[in-house]
Amino acid sequence: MKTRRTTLAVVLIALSALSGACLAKDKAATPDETGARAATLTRFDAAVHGDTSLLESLLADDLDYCHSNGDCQGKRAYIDSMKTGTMKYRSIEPTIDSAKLLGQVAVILGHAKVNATRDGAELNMQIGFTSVLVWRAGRWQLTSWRSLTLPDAPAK
Amino acid sequence: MRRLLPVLFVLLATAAMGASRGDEAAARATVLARFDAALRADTGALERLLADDLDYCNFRGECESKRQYIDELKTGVLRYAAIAPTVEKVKLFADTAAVTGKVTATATRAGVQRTIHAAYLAVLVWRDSRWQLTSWSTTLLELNETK
Repeated sequence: MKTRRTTLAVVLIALSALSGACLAKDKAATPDETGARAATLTRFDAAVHGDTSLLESLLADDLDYCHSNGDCQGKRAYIDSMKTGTMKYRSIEPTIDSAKLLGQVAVILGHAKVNATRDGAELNMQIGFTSVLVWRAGRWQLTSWRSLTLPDAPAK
Repeated sequence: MRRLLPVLFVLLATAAMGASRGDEAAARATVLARFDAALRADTGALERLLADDLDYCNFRGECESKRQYIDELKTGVLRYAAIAPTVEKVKLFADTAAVTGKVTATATRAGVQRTIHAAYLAVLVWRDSRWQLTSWSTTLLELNETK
């Protein structure tokens, strides 16, 4: 009888510890829509300011960044293009159209007016974008980006 | 009680791991099956392959819902003549997958035939024990239009 009681107590303590750990985890990690929207807007801001150290934390290591011309870059190549000035954003005016939360992943749809220089060529365009963020290390990180030039854009 | 412990452990482990999840091969297969269903206007298959919260954004940046996309195929407003897709990369995030690739498709929409070559990003979500397309967007690489 005593053994049975001891075993029951151990099981209850284990269950309690497990649920406590789950609750603590939930409190620490809160991947919500507001945070995903904010991370998206902060990323635009960091790009305009060429803030590469902020980009290091906002971009996932497995980033696939695909531009409106179809060219894709990884995280290193994208950040390096800003460091070297190959890509220079002068202004980005973004609008988020929708945000969808899928557990630890968020899909953001939006459009933006972009003024930039790429390889010395002026870019002045309206783009549509899909941004996929993943919740890692307690923050949203951009893991996939795809944009397209919207048809009525006054592309130069 | 001692005999119940292994059972309890299994239950806890199962709960911690969650329900069975889709893998990369199944995500690829779902993307290709979706192209195939669109080509054959198989709306029954599309009902299962498309998530109810689908955002289907075409190469012009116009987005449609699941109902709108399926209705276009049902009514013949959109009719595919050929689709040649490739899957280049699959990234798995537990119950979500981001799939990228390229596609060349010939389709008639509202009487205008177009052949497009585009790069795409498909986001799949694992629901009801299958992958479902929840977000689709394309970047146009080349366009040929015949009116």
